[in-house]
Amino acid sequence: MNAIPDEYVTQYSGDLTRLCMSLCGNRVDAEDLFQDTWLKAARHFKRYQPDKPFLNWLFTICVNTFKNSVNAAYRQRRHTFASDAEREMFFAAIPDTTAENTDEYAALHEAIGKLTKKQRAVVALFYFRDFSISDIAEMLKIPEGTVKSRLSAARAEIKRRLENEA
Amino acid sequence: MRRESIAETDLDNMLYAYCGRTAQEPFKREKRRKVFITKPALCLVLTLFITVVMSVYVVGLSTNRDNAPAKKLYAFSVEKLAAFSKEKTIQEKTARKGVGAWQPRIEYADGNLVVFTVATGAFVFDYQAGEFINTFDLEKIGVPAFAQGDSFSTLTVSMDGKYGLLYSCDAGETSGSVAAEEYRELDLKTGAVKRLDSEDEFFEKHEPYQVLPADTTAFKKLPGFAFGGKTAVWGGNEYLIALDWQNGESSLGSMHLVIMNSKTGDIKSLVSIFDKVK
Repeated sequence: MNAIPDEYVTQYSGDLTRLCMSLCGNRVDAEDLFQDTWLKAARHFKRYQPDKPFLNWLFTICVNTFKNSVNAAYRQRRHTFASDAEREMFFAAIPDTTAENTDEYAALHEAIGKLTKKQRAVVALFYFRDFSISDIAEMLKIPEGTVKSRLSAARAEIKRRLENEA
Repeated sequence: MRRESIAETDLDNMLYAYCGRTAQEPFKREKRRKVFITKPALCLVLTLFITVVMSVYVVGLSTNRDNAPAKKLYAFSVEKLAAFSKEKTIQEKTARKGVGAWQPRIEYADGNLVVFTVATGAFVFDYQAGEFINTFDLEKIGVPAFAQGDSFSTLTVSMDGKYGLLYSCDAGETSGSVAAEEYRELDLKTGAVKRLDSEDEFFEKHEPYQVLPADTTAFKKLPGFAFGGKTAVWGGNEYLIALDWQNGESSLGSMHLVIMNSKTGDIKSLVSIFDKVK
C-alpha cells in the first residue's frame, strides 16, 4: 500500500477541515467526514494520478463520501450546533463577521442546511476553492449542465430563504 | 418581515465568506492557503478540530496494542484490529496527523439501551443490566463481497430501539459511483436479518431515531477523558450519554460509557465497556 506523504497531510488538512465544515455544518459530522476522507485517501492512494492536483482528488473523495452518506446515518444529523460555544466558534471563523451581521450568516447557514446534499456539494466546491464548472463536473462525474443547474437552483433557494427570513 | 432583495454580488460574497474566504478576495491557489492559515480565528478552529480528532485516534490506537480483547465482543473486531495493525502506514500517518477509524458513534440511546458502532461493528448494550444484548459485524451481515475495497455499511436505528436499517454500499469514493447497494432490516434483539427492497420499506414501518448533537461541556470536565468519543442525549436533553476512551495509554478496558446529568454534570452511571465481556 502506498503512503500519503506527510507533507500532503500537513498541507491539505486545513482546507479539508474547512470543506468538511462547509458541507456538514457542524463539528461532529465534520470530524467524521474529515477522518473518513483521509482514511479512504490512504487506502486508495495508489489510484491517485500524480499528474493531477492532489487537492482535487482529495476533495472528490470527501464530496463523494458526503454524498453517499445521503443514504446513511449522516442524514439523521441536523445542520445545527452542539453548543453555543461551537456556534460562536463556527461564525468567528467566517471572515469579516461582526456582531451585526452574525445573524445574517446564521440565516445563511440555515439556508444552506436546507439544500440537498448534491446542491450543497456543488456550492461548497464552487465557492470554497473557485473550482470551475468543468472541474466540478469532472470531480463529481456529472455533466457540466447539471453542475450549472444545481448551482443555480441552490443560489435561488438560498436567496429565497434569506429574503423571506423573518 | 420580508427582507429586501439581495444583490447577486452580496450573496456571492456571503457564500465566499461562509466557505472561509474573504469576500471578493481574488483566488490565488499558491497564496491563499497562507492567508487562510494565518487568520487567527480559522487557526483556532483548525487547532481545536485537529486536537479533538487526533485525541480520538491516538487513544484508540494506543489501546489497540495491548490486551487481547474478549472473544464475544470482538468476534468482529479482532480481525479488524489485526488488519489495521498490519496497515502500519495508515496507522503511523493517521496517528500522527489525527485521522482515525476507531471513533465510536452512538446510533441510539434511551433510558436503558444504547446502540453504538465502532468501525464496522455494531453493539447493542443494556447499560442498566450491564450486558451486551447483541453485537454485529455490519459488513458480514450485509454483503460480504462489499467488505473489500470501496465499501461501507451504516446502521440507522428505529425510534423504539428494536430494529436497525443496515445499509451496505459498494461505492467508488474516488469515482463517485455506487456499484451496488443493499438494505436489510436487523432485529437488534434476536439478530434476525431480513432483506429489503429499499430503505423506504423500513421507514414505512419505523421512524428513524434522531441523533441530536449534545452539549459536551460537562463531560469534558471529567478527569481522564480526552473527549474523543461520541455523545447523544435523551430525556429532553436531561441526560448525556457519552462513549469514550478513558486514559488513552491504558488498555482496551478503558472504553467507558458515561451517563450523566447534562446540566449538573453528576454521573448517573459509568460503565467500562470491555470489562463487561472479559
